[in-house]
Amino acid sequence: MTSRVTLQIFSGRPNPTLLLDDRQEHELHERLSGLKTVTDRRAPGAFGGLGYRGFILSRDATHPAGPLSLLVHAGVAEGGFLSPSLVDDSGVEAWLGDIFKGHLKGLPAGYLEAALRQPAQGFHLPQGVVGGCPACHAADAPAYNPGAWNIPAVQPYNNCYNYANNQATNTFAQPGRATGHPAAQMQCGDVQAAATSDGLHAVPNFTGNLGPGQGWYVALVIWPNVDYHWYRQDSVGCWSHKPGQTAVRNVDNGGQPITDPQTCDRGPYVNFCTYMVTTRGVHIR
Amino acid sequence: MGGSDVRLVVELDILSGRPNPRWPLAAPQAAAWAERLAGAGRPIASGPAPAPALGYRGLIVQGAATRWRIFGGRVERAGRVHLDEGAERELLATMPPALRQQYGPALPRGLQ
Repeated sequence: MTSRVTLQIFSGRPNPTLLLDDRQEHELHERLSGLKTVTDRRAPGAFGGLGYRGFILSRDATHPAGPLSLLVHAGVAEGGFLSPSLVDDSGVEAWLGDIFKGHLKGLPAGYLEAALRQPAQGFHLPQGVVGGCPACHAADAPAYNPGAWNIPAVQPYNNCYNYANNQATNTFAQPGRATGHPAAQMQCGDVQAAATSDGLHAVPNFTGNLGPGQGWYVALVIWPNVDYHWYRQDSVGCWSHKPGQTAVRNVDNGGQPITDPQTCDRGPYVNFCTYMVTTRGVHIR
Repeated sequence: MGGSDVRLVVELDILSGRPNPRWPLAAPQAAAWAERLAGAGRPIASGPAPAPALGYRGLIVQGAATRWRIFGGRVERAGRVHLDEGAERELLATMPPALRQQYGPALPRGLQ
């Protein structure tokens, strides 16, 4: 009934593990309680690799503090798909490194210390691709702000249409529902007409200047006869989206930054319909 | 609560704009699934399997006070992840025929 720590480092041999003592359990609790800052970075250890890949903290439901499965690596603590990643700003990773130093066998002296001294960069979802993004011509374009959306009170109740319109209504908004004109078929024409009834308007591209009060660019795509999906162009120039109840992200299905939703990897949403302009005054429900 | 009172709803996490399709599990099935998804004795995994953004992202099973996500041979609940290779396929087998007809072709080949 104690927390187990696994050092992810080997490939062929079993990774070293240890159990925390009571004093360490208390300190772990204190440090985890201090993790508050949500980030869109991922712990690179979650994606494999060779060599040091972080620490896994685990305990089962019989533990007084409840179950835990947490990966801490490169300055990021992540607990799984349903939980947002958190910045390790209470030094959990370095502290676990200190605990492990006296328990390592078969590693070159100083290896772990050197790995932990590497800059804590996480797996950075590409905010650093500004140079590769197209120009944003919309003065009102929202900033890319996943932290405001990827929280339990917001994320499950808002979809791609909410996000594209930058309105968290907590209603899983549907095009045309606010006006009584929802789409009858999952086809471009039907969904575009429903969005138009909400106040959006179609445009041929996203290169025209939109001044203050004139809105920002969004894009509609269709999984024929099944579903629709929306993207929005952020102020940085690249596009982002919120697939259903999942987290906001600025990469496509292939993990690439989205410079144009017409050409990105959209999985089954194979039909690109149109770019549209939405504004703060659009009413969705 | 007795085993026959357990109520579970399965959600196919696949859509973006429209709400995901859902179906209830019959009472005897639900009790068995609640016990299985609790994961007693199953190996702990280091984390959930990464799912694609658009298209099939796995199954969500919702109980009265518990929510599980099942994808890629892993079952996740409240940050705890364990391995269960067969759960995903067996839960998909409970999908009503009308939903299977509509969404079956969109599932990964090994789960169709």
